[in-house]
Amino acid sequence: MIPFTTRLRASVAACTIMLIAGWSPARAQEPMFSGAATQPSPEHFTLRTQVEYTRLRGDPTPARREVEDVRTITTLTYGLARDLAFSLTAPVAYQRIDALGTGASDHRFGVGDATLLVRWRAWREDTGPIDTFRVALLGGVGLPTPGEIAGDGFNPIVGAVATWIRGRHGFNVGAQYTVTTGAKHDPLFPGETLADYLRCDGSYLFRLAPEQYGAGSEAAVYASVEVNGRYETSGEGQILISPGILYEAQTFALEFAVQLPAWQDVSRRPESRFSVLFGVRFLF
Amino acid sequence: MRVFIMALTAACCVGVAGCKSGGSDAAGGDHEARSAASAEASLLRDTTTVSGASATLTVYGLSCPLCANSTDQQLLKVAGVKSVEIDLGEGKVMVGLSGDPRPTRAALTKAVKDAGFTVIRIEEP
Repeated sequence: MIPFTTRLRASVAACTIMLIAGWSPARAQEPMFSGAATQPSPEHFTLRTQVEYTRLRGDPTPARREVEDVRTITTLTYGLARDLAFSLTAPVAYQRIDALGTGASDHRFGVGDATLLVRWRAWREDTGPIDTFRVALLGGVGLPTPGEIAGDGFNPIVGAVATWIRGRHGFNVGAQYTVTTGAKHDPLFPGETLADYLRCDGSYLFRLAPEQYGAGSEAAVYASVEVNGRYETSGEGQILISPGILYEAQTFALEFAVQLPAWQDVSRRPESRFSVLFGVRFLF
Repeated sequence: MRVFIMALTAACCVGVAGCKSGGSDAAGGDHEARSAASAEASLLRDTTTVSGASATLTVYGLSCPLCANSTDQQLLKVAGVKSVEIDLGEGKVMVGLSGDPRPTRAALTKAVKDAGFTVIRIEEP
């Protein structure tokens, strides 16, 4: 058994490495917990790193688990062609699990399920200097990775996302369906049971400043709010509300958001209490 | 499950309503989109060399400071392009040119298209 302090240091080191790795070109004006129909241009790549803390309580199973989860979520996206890109997402997580029902406590640290997605921009319509409407179709697979955090199946994924920006207002709407072929032995989050998993996200971003772009505009601040729907074909579901703030400069971006449950109906895993997410992106 | 579906339906309705209200000039928007696509297609066929020391591109779809960086990266790959300055508010991209060979209008348009945006006009001083 690896001592807790060693695992904690390893977690901090992994977070630091992931943050440093994230200092690279990033995609713009994206919500924090969901996607947008944006992608890097050909032969360019982006790396996005987010650090997320989540607390889970109210486990209806006999184990009555209470969970604290800290993870870095790093996404590498590469532009294959003008309208085609692929991305690889890999979370690294530390989990502390206290099972009140059995009195047992456990710590886990490792790489979660990786996700490989191909993104095809099916529609692009630019109607003004700032205004645009884009639609992207997604297809890919969830990949199992060794360790305590990951599942053990290859899970096909299909989805679509649309982004509409008009002046200071930005909307994103997307859905992603995962066919689950391998469950985690101890499911904690949506999509970790053997049931298929549907996530539906809607987001609105409002540019707080500047009110109008000009020749000297080098940064922008956005307020955002997301509605994140999570549904499993076993009948379990969650609707989460995620307010946040995004700062974008020409060479870096910072994002911060909180995620709170609005409605939950789960029977195989604990309920979400809240999540806090911080992301940083740098442009070379 | 019923709550989930109702909430999703409500979210979709709000989204659609938002799109419609925001697009009070929806017909104009469609016209703008068609015009922009047509202008871009025309420029992509234009093999005229840009011979001056600079050119100003009118670009649609540049919605944020990070978009400007993507456009910079693609334009600076074009032979003859030495500098790029962007006015997001006006959608103007000022390109500084020097040396040989000079880029064609089609090459500049393709670079911006590769970055994910639409050139509708190229002007030389």
